[in-house]
Amino acid sequence: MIEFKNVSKRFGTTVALDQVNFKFEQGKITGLFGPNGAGKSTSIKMIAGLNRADSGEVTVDGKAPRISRANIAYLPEIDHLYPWMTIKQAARFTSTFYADWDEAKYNELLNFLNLHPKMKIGKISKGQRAKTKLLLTVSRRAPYLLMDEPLSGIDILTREDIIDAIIKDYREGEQTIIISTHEIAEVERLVDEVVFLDNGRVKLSGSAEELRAERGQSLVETMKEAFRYVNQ
Amino acid sequence: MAYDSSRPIFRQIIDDFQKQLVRGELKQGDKIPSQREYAEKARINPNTVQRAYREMETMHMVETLRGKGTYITVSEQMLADIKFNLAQKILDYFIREMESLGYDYARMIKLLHSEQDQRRVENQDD
Amino acid sequence: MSTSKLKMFFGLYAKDMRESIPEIAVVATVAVVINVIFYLRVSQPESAVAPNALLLLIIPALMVMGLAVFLPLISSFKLLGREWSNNTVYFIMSLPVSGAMILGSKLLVLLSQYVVGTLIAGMTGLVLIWNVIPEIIRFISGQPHCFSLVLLFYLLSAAFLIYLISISFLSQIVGRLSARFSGLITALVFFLTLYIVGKINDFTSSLNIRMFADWYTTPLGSLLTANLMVLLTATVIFTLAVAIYNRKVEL
Repeated sequence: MIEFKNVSKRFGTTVALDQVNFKFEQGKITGLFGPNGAGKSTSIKMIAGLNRADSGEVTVDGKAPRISRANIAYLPEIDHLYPWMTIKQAARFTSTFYADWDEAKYNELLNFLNLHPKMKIGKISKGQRAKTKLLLTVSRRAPYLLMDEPLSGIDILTREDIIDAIIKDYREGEQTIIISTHEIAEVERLVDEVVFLDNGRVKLSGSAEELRAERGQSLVETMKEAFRYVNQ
Repeated sequence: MAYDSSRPIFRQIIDDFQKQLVRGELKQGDKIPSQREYAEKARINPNTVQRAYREMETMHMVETLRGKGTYITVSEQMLADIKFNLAQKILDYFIREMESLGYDYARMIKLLHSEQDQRRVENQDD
Repeated sequence: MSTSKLKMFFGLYAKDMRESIPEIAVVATVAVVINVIFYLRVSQPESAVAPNALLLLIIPALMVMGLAVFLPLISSFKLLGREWSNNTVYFIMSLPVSGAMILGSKLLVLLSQYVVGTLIAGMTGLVLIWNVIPEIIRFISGQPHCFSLVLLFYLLSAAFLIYLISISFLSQIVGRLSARFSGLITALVFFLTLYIVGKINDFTSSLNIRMFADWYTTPLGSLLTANLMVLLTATVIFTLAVAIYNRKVEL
């Protein structure tokens, strides 16, 4: 389980997170939603150990994030791979660092996503790069999978491939996935739990199915409502 | 199958299987797709599918045999119950909608009777 | 798949080496070119300089070493800075390895550049002065400790490179603490550190000279001490850089 306890963070004068409290339950897929600048990326980076809370505490299985990096698979929004590497080289490189690397899964996903090991990362299209990032992150049996805007800026067919790959790979109850996105409609049917962030604060959180039962509306509608309220 | 995002999805999965049973598309002993197959085909969260399947097992609608798959285990009684429950839901919807149109029970029954007569005539003409 | 710290370190080393191949080629080429130019000039019959065999060895060696230190230093800014400009820092920072391994492998790569560069240049030089070698060998066998002196001197140059690279890493990492003024802060910290260490060095050398009086004054002794002092300083600076990277740098 990942827990944020009274976490605050600011970058210069901008408040990224303001005393937030939430939990990411084990074995569930949680959607971290909110407009740009809400604090989603900051939260995810905090779990991956790429930045630190100014106050409050973030724990992964009760320990500090930096210690838990071996258990975390992080998919950043940014293109973070070495452009001179081929997919095969990048896979080889990644596998030396993680005991949970799954070669069989890698080969399976490679085919499923229509990628070739000899492709040079710097030379392929944006959609293929997004798929490559996903491939390398997900070819592991990592207990925690963090995805920061995995679908943004990608054509619709590639997006579907990515969602299919996530579903295909997911091990119910074993893997904990956190997906941050502002394209809620795309992941509407993918998430178990949701956390809505706005201006560094939690606007709403809970189980997706319960929210649907309670409110009789989709998550997209619920979010629009939550934010319309604020912007009035 | 199209899912309505404004209602709990796991319920819709169960409802869908029930409809298939009621229509006779699925019968006692038939094998249904595994959770994984279902999730991949429908492109929804495997956890949600798992919840639906578990619920169906609790309802004794299906049974999962290790290594073999999931099979329908509805008894005649249960099928009748399912049909009855679905009929109730449809009736409930009908009554609410008719009432909102201003029909009371007497008028509803009168309408049903006239509809029944009309259909009998149409059938005879065929 | 099994992983071990050693495998991970080697993985990082191989990755950085692969990225640095063009730079290694440059260092080697420049070193060879310098050698060749020097020897060509010196072996001109019109040359006023009578080529003393020893000079033939020492001067180019010094020139090559100077350049072989300078070029990797420049590389060090590229090797580390590139991680940020390519955004690959998001990759390595999320890896389950300490900053010590990340910076350590880069340090090793830059040292390798130096070693390769000087070795290639050295061998080219030897080829060029082929006819003078017997004379040199005669000279060397006449001098005790000659070999160890040369070795220590070479090690000292490598230690000095390590020292400069450590400062380069430290200044770059401190620079990364600021989003807007990285370049400026990097340059500032770089020269400031050089200055401070220089001052400390002046201060301590005035103390040392009385302590190790006899031993210190032999060439061997002074070279050894110098080596140790430089490496010690480099270690302190490197450790500081690693600590700041591990604890303070954020994305």
